[in-house]
Amino acid sequence: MACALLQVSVAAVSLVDEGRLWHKAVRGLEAEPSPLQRSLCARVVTSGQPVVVEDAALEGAPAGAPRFFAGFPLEDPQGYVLGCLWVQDQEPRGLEARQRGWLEGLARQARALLETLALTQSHAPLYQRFFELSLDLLSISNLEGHFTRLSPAWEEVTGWTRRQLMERHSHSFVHPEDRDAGVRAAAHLRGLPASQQANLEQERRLLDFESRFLCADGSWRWLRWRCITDPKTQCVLSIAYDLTQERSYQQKLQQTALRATEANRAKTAFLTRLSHELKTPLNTIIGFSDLLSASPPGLFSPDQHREHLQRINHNGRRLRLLIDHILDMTRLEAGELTLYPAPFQLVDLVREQVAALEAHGAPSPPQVLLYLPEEAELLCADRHRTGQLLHHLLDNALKFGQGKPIQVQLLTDAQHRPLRLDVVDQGIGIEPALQDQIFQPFRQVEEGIARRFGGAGLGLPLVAALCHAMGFALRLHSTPHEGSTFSILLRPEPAT
Amino acid sequence: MTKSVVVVEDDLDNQALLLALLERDYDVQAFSSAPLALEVMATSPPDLVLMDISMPTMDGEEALQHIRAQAWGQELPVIAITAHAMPGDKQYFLDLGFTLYLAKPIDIHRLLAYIGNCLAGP
Repeated sequence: MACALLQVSVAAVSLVDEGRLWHKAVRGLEAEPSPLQRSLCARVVTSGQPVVVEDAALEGAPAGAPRFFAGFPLEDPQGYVLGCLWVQDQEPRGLEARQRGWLEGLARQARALLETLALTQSHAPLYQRFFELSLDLLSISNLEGHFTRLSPAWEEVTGWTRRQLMERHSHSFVHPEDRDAGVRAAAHLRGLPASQQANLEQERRLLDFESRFLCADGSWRWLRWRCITDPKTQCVLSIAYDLTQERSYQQKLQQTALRATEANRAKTAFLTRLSHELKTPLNTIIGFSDLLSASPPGLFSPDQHREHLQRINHNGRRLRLLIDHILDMTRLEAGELTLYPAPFQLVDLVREQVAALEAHGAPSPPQVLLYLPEEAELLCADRHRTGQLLHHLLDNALKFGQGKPIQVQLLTDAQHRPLRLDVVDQGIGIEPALQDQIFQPFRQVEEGIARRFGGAGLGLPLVAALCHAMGFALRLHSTPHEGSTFSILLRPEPAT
Repeated sequence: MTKSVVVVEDDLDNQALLLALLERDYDVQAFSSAPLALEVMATSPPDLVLMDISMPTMDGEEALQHIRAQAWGQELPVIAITAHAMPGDKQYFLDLGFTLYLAKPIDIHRLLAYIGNCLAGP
């Protein structure tokens, strides 16, 4: 351009680099720059001022050397002279102001170009380093869906080598259920007409989706993708973010919330049931005491009077027992129940409990069949708590045994040591799916059962908790509609 | 003529309370299970029923349906007595078709008044 503008034969840009002079973009010069050219350039660079030599012969240039020279400095934004833009001609000539302006303009332009070039060159490795550093998964793929370039983070997250990832189609790593999102995205990116692809608005439309990505160890990681096509290179640029951790936290949070809701619901149900259980004996106590205090003397016979008072008393005790159970359960759950183990005869305890049950009396107490050994060693345990255990099991058998005979049997080992105590009923039985639930405090299986059978739902949970506290093992074998067998293993095998 | 009342209540102490309250003025029959009570009522329908809700084998709601399904039971006064007392329960039981609702622990004077009203009739 400089050649054309000034009708000179040679134009060039020369750069200074640590004492050397580089000629770049030389136009019209076949040979290496001459010493004269070098010295003239050096003058421009060192002075930082334009240098114009109208006739070099006047300054002692050898014959045949170019006679005309004009050089303009190239400065960087800090004012350092980087080199010069210069022209020369064989003939001596002057430089008009207009031409001088042109050359200065060209020099400015050359400088701007150099700056851009320098920027690009110095930043390219920087971008590269960003690519390498990224914790997110950066990728470039072609429109067919093959990866062409992947950041190292891919290897850390997926366990595949980048080579392995590039060998297969990217969709083959995506979970079958999530492929739709990826395929739709790819089709969308591919399907844009050329005119639209060039459209900046379209280009800026990012694609976001989430999908599971197969890792080398067979596990899946949730990735959140953001993709964009580059219309010029026909590449898809993608950034994927590993969501797996986030998702698992989210899931845990949801599960916790669900459990909390469930616990809350169970608690409400328990309180409802508990209030029912408390009100039933209260009804007798308040009702009879109201009746007795409102009745004129002599209305009831002395026998009737005593009977009514006994009912009040009995129901007061019933209430106390219920409250004791609640407190026991609370203590057991808190691990605060104190045990007082001492040797005692279990056979006697079984007889006592069965007798107590029969004395308490359901309308027609079912038959309790006892299978007890003639000879049995003493058992060392908390007698009172063992009695409670048995009481709750018998109570449960009575409640759900449908009036059919109940069996209680004690098995001993060769040394006559008590080994196992079974309480067997032939009642409604328990569905396998519910067999764990019944031992959880404060929940009786199904509301319907609670309504029909009453009870706070504390008996079996107390049995389970007491067994655990005393080092016994509890086993349940139950078939719906046939009955249940609760076994207490008194000398459980130590867990291996 | 002495009016007849059937009590269906599985808790024997509460049953005894209702008997002690009512047997002076009414002809009272008490049952601890609903199926047995239904069987007896079918042969000689009473003038009024006091029905507990939570009972094994058959609960009070189901028993009421059986009563209402019979010709003799459509207009029969049936009073629900329950320890299930949550807000909204009263309306729930009235909607089921119970004539009246009483929560345990019952107020004996109110119970006697209710029964008196139901049996006063035209």
